[in-house]
Amino acid sequence: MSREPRPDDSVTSTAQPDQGLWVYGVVDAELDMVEVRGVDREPIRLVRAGRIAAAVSSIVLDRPPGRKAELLAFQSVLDTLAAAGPVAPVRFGTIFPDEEAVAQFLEDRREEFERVLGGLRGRRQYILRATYVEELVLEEVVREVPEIRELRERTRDRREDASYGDRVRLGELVVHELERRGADDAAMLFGFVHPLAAAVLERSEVAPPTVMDAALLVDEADAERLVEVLEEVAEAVHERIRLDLTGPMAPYDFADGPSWAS
Amino acid sequence: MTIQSTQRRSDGGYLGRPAPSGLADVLEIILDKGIVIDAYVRVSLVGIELLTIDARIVIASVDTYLRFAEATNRLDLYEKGKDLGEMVSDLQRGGASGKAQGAVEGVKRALGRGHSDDEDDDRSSRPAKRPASARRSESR
Repeated sequence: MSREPRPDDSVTSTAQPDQGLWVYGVVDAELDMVEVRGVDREPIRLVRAGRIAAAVSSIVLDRPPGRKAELLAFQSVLDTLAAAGPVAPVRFGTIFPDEEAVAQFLEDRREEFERVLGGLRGRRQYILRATYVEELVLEEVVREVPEIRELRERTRDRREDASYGDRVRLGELVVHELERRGADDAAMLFGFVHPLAAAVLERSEVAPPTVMDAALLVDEADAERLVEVLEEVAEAVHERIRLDLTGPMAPYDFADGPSWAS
Repeated sequence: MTIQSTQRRSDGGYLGRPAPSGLADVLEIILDKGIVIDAYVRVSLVGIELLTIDARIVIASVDTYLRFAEATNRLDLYEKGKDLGEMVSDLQRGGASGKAQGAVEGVKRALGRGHSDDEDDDRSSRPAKRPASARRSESR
């Protein structure tokens, strides 16, 4: 949206330009342009530097950010680009003053970006989450850990203030037991996905009842097999663990290359 | 649109295939991800930094302990035929064999007889969110 210049604009806008370029990601320069609208429904275009390019759209900076719409547009653009070719997402909210600055940024890190795009070619990201079926796993630990069973029996029928220390101790034991079992179960699940993924990253530290939160970079040729294997695993473990697979999506977790690209 | 997802278990499968559609889902996926540009050469939208305030750090606090103690005390224990401990160790042995195919067979062997009782699938809906999943990003 545009507005009439006001007399004092020359004073207030010296620090920041009114217009900028929202940068979504780094792509191949020869990418076939995709039909998708960016933030503020602006068309996406490429700023090229040699064999690589940045996917950008124009943005007017002088209005409050409408975050939800921007987030959804950002995601939509990147996932659309990812379906068309390799893309290394740039962090949400990155805006450059003009095309020269974008081209300079590409030029400065050209080798890094070419290597990262090479590692992403023909691959898509998935997110795999595993969560305990809490009630069932709690039953498991009560049944199998005598100290937990005893504390439970000691605390469950007493007033809360009369058993505070025991209840904290009970919860602590349960949490630690779930963490221990969660680590074992996560190792089992990683064992299934490693042979089918080009790279696997743990996205965050997990705490019970979450067992696993992992980003998988998967060759498109292996995607079907991955889903088949995970479906079988999900069926086998479903009483204790719930598995959720999201994707394919843009490789948000694999944009920085060095930690995983060889 | 390009995230290809099916409704959860619409085909009777056990693997959930959620589509990240809500704001929280999308935030969770894209927050703090991607190539970082030197702050000196970019311009950021006013207020965008708020999005990077991320309360993902999970601290096992007394509150967490009390929540799990309460959940444990609420359990209505009843005896089941299946030895879960045995099942878990079978699963782990299967998973350690590396090759996905062999591992899946290991899981199936370990659980081979349990496939008929599927009725408890929906009752478990979503377990409670992990404690620190709350974000302050929308607080402004």
